[in-house]
Amino acid sequence: MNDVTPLERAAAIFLTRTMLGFVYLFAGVHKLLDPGVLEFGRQWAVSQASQLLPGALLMAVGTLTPFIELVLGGLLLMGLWTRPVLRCLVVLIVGIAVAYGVAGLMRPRGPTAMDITVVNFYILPRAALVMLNLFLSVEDDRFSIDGLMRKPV
Amino acid sequence: MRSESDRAWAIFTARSILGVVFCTAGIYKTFMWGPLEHARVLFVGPYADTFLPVWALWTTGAVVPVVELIAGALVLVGYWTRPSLFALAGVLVLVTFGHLLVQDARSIIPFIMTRSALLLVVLLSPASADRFSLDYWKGMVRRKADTTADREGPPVVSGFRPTPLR
Repeated sequence: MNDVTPLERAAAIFLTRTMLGFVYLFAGVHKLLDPGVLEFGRQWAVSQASQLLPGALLMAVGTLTPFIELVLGGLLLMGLWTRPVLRCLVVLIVGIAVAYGVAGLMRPRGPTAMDITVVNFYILPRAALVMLNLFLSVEDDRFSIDGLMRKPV
Repeated sequence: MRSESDRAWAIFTARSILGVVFCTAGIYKTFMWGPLEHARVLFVGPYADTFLPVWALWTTGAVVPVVELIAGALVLVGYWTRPSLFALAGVLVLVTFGHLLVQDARSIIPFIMTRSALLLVVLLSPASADRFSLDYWKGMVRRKADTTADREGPPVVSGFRPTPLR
């Protein structure tokens, strides 16, 4: 028998979802603890992006980001509202990729302009986990609150 | 059951990031660096001692930035996605050959492997599942127009509309 069992599929999706959840949860926690939300927002406001966008907007986005990461990470870990959370993360990741693309054009880093470290170690691993979660069937995610609340067929 | 919507979001993720990465590189190389300077620094100079003809180095070095720019932008918006993916795949094969001709295998990991992985995700997903692309919307408009035309019957030519046989 070569079929993957429902338990194996559930374990696979649990692994990818939990990893992604921890990545975002701790990204939020670390920003909250050091440098702190206000300092993180201030860093955004004085960053390279301030040449294109208003400082107040950047300050607001920078201040909210740790909380957004914390909430999205927590929801993923619990497996609650998983699909809407994953879609939010897609918007977040694509937005960050565009931002780093623009930043690369303003201050080129290497032959492809974008910072290769950010692309390979920040954007792509997260994108890979999000895509894997989206490609896997939602019905197989049994070890989640969504799975517990789902009515058995 | 896998949701079609979830699959569309996953494809959108891969396609957008791939498009951003290539389009950014294309803008930088074409408008800020210049295709000829790009060819001189990254193609003609490093491969001067190889068997590759100089005219081929100048040509490929000048064409690659433009291909990256146009195909990257098209992939980003999802228009002519398949032909653009083939063009970008050609660039990736070309630069893989170029890197491995003068460097060891590790050199292709940071730039080429990651882009290839993203490209393969999009290429191996059915085009019909890429709901957030212009290609999908174009197809929907065309299907709608075809359905309307079928409902209205054959087109009127010079005031003559053929009547169906009874």
